[in-house]
Amino acid sequence: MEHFVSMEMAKEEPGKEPEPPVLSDNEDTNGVSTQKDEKQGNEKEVVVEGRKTRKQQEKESQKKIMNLRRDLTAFVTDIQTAADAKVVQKRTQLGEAKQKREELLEKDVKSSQEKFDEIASRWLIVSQKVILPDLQEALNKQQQLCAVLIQDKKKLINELQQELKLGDDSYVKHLRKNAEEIDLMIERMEDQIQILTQAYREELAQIERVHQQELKFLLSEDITKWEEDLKELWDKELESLAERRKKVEEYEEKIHKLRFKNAHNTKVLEMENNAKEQAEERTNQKIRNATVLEKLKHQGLEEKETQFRLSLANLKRISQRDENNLQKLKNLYTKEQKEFTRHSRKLSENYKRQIQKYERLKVQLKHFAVADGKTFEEMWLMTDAEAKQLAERALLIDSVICKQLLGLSWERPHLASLELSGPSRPQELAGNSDSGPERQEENFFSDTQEKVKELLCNETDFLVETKVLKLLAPLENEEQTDMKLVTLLYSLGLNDKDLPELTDFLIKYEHQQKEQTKDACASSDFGKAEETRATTNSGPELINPDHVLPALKSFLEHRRKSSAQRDSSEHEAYWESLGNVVSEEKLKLWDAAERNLKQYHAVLMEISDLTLETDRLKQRNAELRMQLQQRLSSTAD
Amino acid sequence: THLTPSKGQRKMRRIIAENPNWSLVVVPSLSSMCLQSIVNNFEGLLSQLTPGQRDFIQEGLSPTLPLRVTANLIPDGVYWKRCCERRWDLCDVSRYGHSWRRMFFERHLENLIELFIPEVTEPKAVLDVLPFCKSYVRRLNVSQLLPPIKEPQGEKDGEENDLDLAIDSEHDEACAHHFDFGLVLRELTHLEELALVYRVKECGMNFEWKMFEMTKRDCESLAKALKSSRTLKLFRLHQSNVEDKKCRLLVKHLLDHPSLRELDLSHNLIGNGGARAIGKLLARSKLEVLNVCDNKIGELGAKAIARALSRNSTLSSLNLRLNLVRDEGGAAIGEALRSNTTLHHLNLGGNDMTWRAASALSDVLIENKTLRSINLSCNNLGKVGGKALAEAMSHNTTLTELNVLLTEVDEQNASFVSEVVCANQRSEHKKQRKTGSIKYP
Repeated sequence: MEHFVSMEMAKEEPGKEPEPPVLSDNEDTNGVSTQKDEKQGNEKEVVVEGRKTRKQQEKESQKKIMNLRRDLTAFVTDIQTAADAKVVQKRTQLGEAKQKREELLEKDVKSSQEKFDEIASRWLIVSQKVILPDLQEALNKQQQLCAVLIQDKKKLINELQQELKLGDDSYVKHLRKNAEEIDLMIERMEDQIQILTQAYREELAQIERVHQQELKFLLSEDITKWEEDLKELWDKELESLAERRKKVEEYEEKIHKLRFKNAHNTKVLEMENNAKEQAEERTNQKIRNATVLEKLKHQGLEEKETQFRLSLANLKRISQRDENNLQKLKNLYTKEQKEFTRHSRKLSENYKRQIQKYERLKVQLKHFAVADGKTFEEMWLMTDAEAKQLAERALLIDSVICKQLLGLSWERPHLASLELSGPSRPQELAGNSDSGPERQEENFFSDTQEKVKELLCNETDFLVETKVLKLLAPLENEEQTDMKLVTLLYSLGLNDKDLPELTDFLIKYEHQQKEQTKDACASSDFGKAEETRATTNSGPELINPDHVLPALKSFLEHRRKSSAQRDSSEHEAYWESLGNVVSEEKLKLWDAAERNLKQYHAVLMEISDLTLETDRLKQRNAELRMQLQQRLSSTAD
Repeated sequence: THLTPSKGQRKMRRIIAENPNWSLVVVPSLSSMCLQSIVNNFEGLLSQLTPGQRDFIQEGLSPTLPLRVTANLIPDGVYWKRCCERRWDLCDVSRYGHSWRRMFFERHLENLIELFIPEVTEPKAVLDVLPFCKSYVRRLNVSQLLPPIKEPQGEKDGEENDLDLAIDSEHDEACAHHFDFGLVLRELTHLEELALVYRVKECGMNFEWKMFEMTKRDCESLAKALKSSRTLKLFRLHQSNVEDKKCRLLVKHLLDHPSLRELDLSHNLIGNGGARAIGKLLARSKLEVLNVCDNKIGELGAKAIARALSRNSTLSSLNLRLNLVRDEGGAAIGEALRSNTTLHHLNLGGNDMTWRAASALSDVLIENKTLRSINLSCNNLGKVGGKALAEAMSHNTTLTELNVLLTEVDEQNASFVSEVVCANQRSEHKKQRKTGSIKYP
């Protein structure tokens, strides 16, 4: 059983053993730190002030740490002693148990010895017995006694075994407890270590703070002292400096005076010398001046002559160069002129050729126009006749249908318009073509025409754009009028060819106005034209400039009207009426009639077929009758 | 300038052409030159390199290289750190004097010994390593020793009850029951600390009492081994069921040991006979620390130790915690302390002492000026003992620790004692500071 104790200790010990080293470590560190503190203290022993507080602080912190350490170590040693106490207790318990057991065993031994003795003594009695049954009885008894003895022993053994088991269980429990305690102790130790380190840190911080405060204090003291000393020193220095400055000023003044005196003396001497020298120089100067003046006169004259000569030569050279230039320019001018004339001749020739071409083209144009008119007339007449014929035919058929088929009374539709409009057209065309020669005649009065043009341009300036006017301003009059006319015509929407017509109209217009004032009644356009021609032929009369604008207006209106007339609706109406000779109703009637006629035709065809068949049947019938008669005749024979 | 290089080239060529011995075969290849240089500088290879190169090599070398090669060649540092960290998760180098190499070899050897199975493992496996280890191993902390697998032959435990330290030298068998330290300790010339536990870790349900005790033969071989080690300073043998006989055997060989300073035989079964032997050892050695806590030393043994203590002049710490010293032993030790001037620490906790021993000790406390700490916890000192101690403490100025917990001393006296102790501590501290201030002028 004593093994248990040792084992317990064995379990307990390892947990405890690490404790002392940790503490000793702490001690060591503390020793080191305190020594360091001392070191610092010694360094500052020179400074007497503020030492007390620091020492106090150190003492306090040391006290605190010592107390803390003692408490903590006590805490651990308490645990150790408690464990020791437990062990001791266990030991005593074990000892007691052992004693008890020994006693018990002794008792048992005694009792068993007694019993044995009894048995042994009985054996003697047994041996004395001779009778068998008695012997048997005695033997039985002995056996019983022995069994009792053995039972007792067995009991004892059982008890002891149970005790052993209990001991084992308690040991196991103990082990568990120990393990728990060890864990707890480890925890505590860790806590303690933390606490200690923290305490150390705090103390260190405090000590440091105190030291720093002291240091600050000492430093500030030193600095103030240093500053005071410095001030004193500076004051002294300043004083000495001021003295020095004064002395310096005095000396300077003295020196200045001395120098001034010296300078005055020397200057007076110099002035005298200078005066003498200047007098000499003045005389010298005068002599020199006279000589120089003479020289200058000579030199001036010579220089002027040479200058004039040079300028003359220059002028000559320039004039010659100009002459040369002039000659060259003349040559160039003549050349240019020749070339220009040649060019103009070429152009005029060209122009003539172009005019000829134009005239030729004009003749051709007229010829073609007349031809076209003729062909048109012919075509017109031809188609008209054809159309009329067709209309006539249609009317005829209509009349037939009405009269014969429907039995209606037929009236010839009104076709007067057809006959009236037909021939009127060619006459107009002929009138238009007649105006050609009139214009040719007017070419002779180009002067008046040009005048009219000018007038027109001047009066209708406002129609031309101002920009264009500005551009045209520098040109000659004729060109201006031409350009203006072109732009004007363009803006009015007219052609170049319309220009002569316009001028004509304007001239005519003047006459018209005059005639209108003379007699109010006016004849047709054709008549007027003839009259105007007569007036223009009689004398060159120009229009009143005030009438130009209204005249222009009326011309434009007239143009518009004539163009509208040309593509009049008369032709259309004419052709329409021709196309509509047979009215829509008639057409419908015709259609119905056609349908009926077709039906009727079909009936007729059937009838015709039937008549044919009846004819054939009749013929056959006749043949059969003939045959019958022959047979009858033959049979009769 | 342009001509000279061509001239030089021509010259060179001429030299080669004119040299009849020149051929490509003669020119050594770069690799062979490298190899040659390695061969030439193999011994001082690392020492000739720059620190950066050395670091590179140490970083790159495989930690599985045979120890035969690396042990002496590679200096302490990164390589050994890598070796350690590869094998063990926890590596506290501060416990090994901040030497990774020492740590590696010590733990390596420990592992080898701990896993050594007698009669199965070849002793060569351990012995082969020793030549490389011996100059680095300073401490061996063996936490288990495996027993042989086979049941050993019948022990012949001689029944000697003689008190003298005669050992029967009947067993001269080469094979010890556990690992034989004789082979190892003889080789390790720098060993200073040896801690042994004859036990099996994690035995589970295979538990047997025999696993947790050393046999006589083990004891004998260990004792001889200890004797043979000339550098050992600390010997620790815990929880190995060392009784009187084995203790005597060990002590006999430790007598007059030249270097042993600390002996720790705690948690064993040493009785009076062993204690007497230890007393003899105290007289004939330079022990400074003796720890025999949790044994079975009684009055007689305590008296023997006390007798030795009165004459000893080296011991500074005595631990008799959890023994059976009782009043007589305590008184004897107290008497011995009258004439002793070296002992600083005394632990008599849990020794079944009463007021008598306390009074005897308190008498001593008045006179003695060397004791620093006394532990009397877990003794039944009672009020009388407490009073006596308090009186004694009022005259003492050196004791800085006195543990009277769980001794049934009344509170008044206990608090007084603790006050005095505190005061002593403070004064001690001041003294230290003064000496310190002298040291740092």
